[in-house]
Amino acid sequence: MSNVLDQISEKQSAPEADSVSNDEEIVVAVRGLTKVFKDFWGRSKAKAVNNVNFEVRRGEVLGLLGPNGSGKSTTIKMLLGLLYPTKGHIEVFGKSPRDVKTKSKIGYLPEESYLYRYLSSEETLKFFGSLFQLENKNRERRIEQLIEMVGLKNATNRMVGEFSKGMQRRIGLAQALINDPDLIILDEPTAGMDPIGCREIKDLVLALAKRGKTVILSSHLLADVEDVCDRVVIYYGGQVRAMGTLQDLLKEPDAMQITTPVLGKETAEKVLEIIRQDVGEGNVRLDNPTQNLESYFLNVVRHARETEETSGATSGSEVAAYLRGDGKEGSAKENQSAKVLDRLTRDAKADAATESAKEEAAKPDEPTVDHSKLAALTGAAAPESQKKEEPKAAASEDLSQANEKLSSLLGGEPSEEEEKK
Amino acid sequence: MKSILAIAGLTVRAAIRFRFFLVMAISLVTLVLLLPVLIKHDGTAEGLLQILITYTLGVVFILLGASTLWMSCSVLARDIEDCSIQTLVVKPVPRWKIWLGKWLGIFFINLFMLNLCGGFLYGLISWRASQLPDEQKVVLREELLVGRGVANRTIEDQTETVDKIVADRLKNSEEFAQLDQEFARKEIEKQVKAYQETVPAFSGRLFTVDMKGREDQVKDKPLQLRLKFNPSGKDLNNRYDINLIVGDAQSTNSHTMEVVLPGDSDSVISMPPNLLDKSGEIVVQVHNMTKYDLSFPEEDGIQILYHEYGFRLNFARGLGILLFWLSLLSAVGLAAGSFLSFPVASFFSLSVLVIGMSAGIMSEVLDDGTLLPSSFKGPFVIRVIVDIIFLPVFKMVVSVFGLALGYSPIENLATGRSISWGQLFLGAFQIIVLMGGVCAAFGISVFTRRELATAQNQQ
Repeated sequence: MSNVLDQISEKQSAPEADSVSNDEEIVVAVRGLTKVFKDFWGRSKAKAVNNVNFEVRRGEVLGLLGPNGSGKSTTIKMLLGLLYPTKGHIEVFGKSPRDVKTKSKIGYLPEESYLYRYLSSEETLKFFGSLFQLENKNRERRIEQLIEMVGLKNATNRMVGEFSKGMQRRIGLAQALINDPDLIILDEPTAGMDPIGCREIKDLVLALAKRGKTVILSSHLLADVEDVCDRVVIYYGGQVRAMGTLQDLLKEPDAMQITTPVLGKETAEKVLEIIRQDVGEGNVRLDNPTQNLESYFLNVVRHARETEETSGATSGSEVAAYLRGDGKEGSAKENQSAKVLDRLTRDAKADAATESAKEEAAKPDEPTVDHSKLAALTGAAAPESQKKEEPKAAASEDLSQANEKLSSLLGGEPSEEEEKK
Repeated sequence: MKSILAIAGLTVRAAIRFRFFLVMAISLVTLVLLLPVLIKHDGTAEGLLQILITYTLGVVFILLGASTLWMSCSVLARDIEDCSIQTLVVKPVPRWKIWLGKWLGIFFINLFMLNLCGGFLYGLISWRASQLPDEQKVVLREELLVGRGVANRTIEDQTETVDKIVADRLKNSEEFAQLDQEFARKEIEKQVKAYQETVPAFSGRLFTVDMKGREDQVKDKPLQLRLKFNPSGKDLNNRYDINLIVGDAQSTNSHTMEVVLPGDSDSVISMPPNLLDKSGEIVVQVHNMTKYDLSFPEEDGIQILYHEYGFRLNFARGLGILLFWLSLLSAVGLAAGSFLSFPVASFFSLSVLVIGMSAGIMSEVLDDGTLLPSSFKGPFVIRVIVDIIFLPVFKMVVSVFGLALGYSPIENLATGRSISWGQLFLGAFQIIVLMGGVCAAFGISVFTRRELATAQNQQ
């Protein structure tokens, strides 16, 4: 998988899977959904889901958030026809979730690894693949790519029952993708996974979304959701308490954050001085951004892997070719060099940029520097249409460019680079 | 079909991976080989077959039946309990296919096990038969290791006789006219039937056995006469003198025998071939030389056994019917597992099995018209209450299980009676399609409607 910044640019340039507009095609529609669990005598035991309404559109990554017992998994199980609503209505691809043909477009990773413990990972994929009436050749090709992708090539013949939880999650993920589904429902996908696996899953979700696949993801891990979701639904007590895009939900209109390369002491003082004049001494904070633990961990593992082998799950390869849909379905070996770990840790410089651009990765439609914010800050509100048409900055765009804009915004001296230009 | 086969394959694989397959195969083969060694037979061909087929095959069937019930209850109930069914039902496979796939998987396992045991048993029979004395070898070859067809005696329609008796009684007896006429007629029918079955003391009766259409089949081949009677009283040793003339007594084409036979049990008497008369019937004259009346039941009192098939094919068809029974058991277990947890489903299936096996006794109770024995001395009202409660239940059970009551391949094989293709196909239809179909319809219906995500993972 390419790094996050590459993915942003890929997403911008990826052709749509079909001509239907994302805004128009509703994949999942939930109306007044209510689920009451009853006891043997028919008395209400618990109202797990209460009058929930939402829609999921094609190509969207929707996150379901909420504490334990808030109704996320119950909602997912009703979407899959495993539970039946007490009240309300669900449509998946315009049909009942129990419609057999509809199920051929769905991939589901349950919250636990509900797999057959007596099958090996390869047999598991063969079995589930055979239920989708895939041609043998096609099925074998997908199995090979999926096993490569989830990093279980060394454990192809081991029984699933012998796997660690993380390895079971990996094979569970592979079985969910064997049919190249249009709707992928992931219930706690990163539970039990190591950080590499978590990163891979997040990259996978982004890659799937890039192909116009719809993803519904339930997780306790807010960072996971923040990294990949376009929109979130927050549950509490069986009800939806908040819903919207991450941008809308997380925006703090009364504060600003400026990220630049390290400035000289003099420049920093100048900048702070200007800001202090407007907002006062106590409201300004200056410190170094820190690399997050995930990036640090991935670096450490990369170095370790260069010297030692492991009998457990290895880091997965790139997203299976058939899932990328890019037509480049070369052998796994040919793509080995593109392993996610390599790509994620290939460039130490890019790492720093990756983390600083993490929010942008989750919101790939936004440029690295938010021009609308800049415009708003300078008092010239950008028209709505302009906002949409703004070219999405390549994630590899030099941060100095942003710095230049910032400097000019703040009335500072142009940088050396700008002067050269 | 591909998905059904995939699920069937999964079921077989589970049996193999959990060592069930291996353990069962070894246990059954050991049983087949050891049981005839541990139980000594009396040196006769009948004794040998009783051990090899009645006991050994019987125990194999009981073991396989128990394992089938256990497996069929667990294969679905456990999948639901450990939640692996959730991964399966979200795939584009209708639930009825999942149910049928599981059933088919168990069918394949039973097919293999029965063939394995059948193969070993057949080899054992062949080997042990070679060790018998010469005269017993002949008995084995001609009477037992064959598929003998059964021809029953001709039953005449007695409606006219009953009508006439009822009319006479109504005319001559006011007391009779005041009785419940339906009950009274049934009693007269029983009396007429008993009269037709009975050979009174020191007298004789003529029975005919219809062999039309089978003349060529029995030509020049030895026949057996199978007799079973109930005496009105018992001698000290329960043995009764009977004179028999089989065939046309006026011609040379007849066979006369003086025999002493036990009461209340089957006796098979060898006879020469070609005893049919011109109309394709065999006439059997029975002369009762005792002071007791002897009643030869309408169903199996007098039968002619004739060579119909070879043993090998007969044996294979017998195993086929056992396979149908096992398939029915798996349908019962799967139906229970569709809506109950594994332990409860096992208990439920066992209960159904016991009730089903009691259908024969229930049928006899229904024939008697009362559950309590005639010697019951308690208040009459208790008898009435007990009958009101139990007789309808018994009637329902018999109507459900009665279809399959006639299929007893182990007994047929041990006594050398043939199991025809017709019986095999009818057995497949009645046991699998009708009875199994009812279980499948119920199980699939419940499984399709059931919410499958309420169970907690118990892995």
